[in-house]
Amino acid sequence: MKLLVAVDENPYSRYAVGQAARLAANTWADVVMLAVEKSRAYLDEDDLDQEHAHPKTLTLKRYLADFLGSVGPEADIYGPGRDVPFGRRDGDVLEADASGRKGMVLRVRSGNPAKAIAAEARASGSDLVILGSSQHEGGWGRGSDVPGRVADAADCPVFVLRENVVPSKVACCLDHANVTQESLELINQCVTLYGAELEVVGVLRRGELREDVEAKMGEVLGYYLDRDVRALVRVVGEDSLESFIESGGREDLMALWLTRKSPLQKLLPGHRVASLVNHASASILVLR
Amino acid sequence: MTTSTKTSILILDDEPIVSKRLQPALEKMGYEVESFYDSSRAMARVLERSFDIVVTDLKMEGVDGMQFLAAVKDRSPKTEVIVITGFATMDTAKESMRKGVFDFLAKPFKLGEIQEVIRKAEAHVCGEDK
Repeated sequence: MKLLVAVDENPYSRYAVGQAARLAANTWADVVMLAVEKSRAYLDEDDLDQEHAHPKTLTLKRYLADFLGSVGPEADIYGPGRDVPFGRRDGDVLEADASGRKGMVLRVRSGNPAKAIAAEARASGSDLVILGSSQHEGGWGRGSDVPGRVADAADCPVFVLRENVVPSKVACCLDHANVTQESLELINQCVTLYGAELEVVGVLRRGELREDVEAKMGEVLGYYLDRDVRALVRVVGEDSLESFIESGGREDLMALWLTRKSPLQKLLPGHRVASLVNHASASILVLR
Repeated sequence: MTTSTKTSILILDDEPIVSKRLQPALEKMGYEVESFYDSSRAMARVLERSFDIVVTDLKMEGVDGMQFLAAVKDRSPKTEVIVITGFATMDTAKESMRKGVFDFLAKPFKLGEIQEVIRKAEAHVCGEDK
């Protein structure tokens, strides 16, 4: 599994790094940690040392130390944690490779944060983007809605974590029957990580549960019960789905499928998905 | 090891979709692949013959992946075992490494990722044997 952990300088990012480390300690995932800086073409880098020209390199080094500390005794799979230098890679990207047996790469990109994070996810073939978010607003700069825009723009799943919340329930909003094995596997890892209970939420269309969705719900429920994962079922009308997601508690993790085949994608245009991700109380896992 | 010149791989996962994806891709790479959904059948097969590489899930009905990998290593210590799991924990990762697995991969992963790990395991097997 390949994780992309996107960070800024806010406390929610530090929290997200800690949670990413917990997931990495379980899964031994390859990790790319990304910070995004403003384009500062006016700077003459020759006049400055790297840490002054690119202060995000320091931010990433601090987060690497936090990450390794949170992984604990097994952290050596990510290398010795020594101070590795940043070098240029692919034009504007700065990179420091701190990998051990498993990949641990620090990267700095520049420009629009949401676009840079989505671009990095594509470039590094990420299976999951993890980023932190403050309560009821996306954070990432005043008036910014970066987590929501990343959730909307990325091709891979995106996990938006609310600061200082450990999910105790994973609610999977199942609005279609085309659930990929990969998306179920990500839910499995989240359920395992948090020891959370699982709620399979079927979405009613015009007051009825579609036959294929009902069959898929049964299949998903059976899948988890066979694996000793406690799972419950409930249904929600499509008209109230948005408010259901918004009203999720702080300790909920809402898993939403946003694919072309997902009615949710039609119900919620891009900007509303972004708004929902930024303003919900719950942490959000956007699946593809 | 086997008399075939091809590197032999056994895949055990109780979710058929995993073998369905993996087997043709690995055969295309020139490997000799046998897939099993049922751990007891896979266990019987590894007692019949040894494989160069074994890819196994951990959480299955019947014989679990840890027992399976222990049996594989016991029967054929040179076999490289790659554990794949959808329910990864720190303990299972540590226990896998203690039992001598070549690598530990959590699901989901892309086909290219496991192909790369298998290539490395093959190089390891060849390096030890030749």
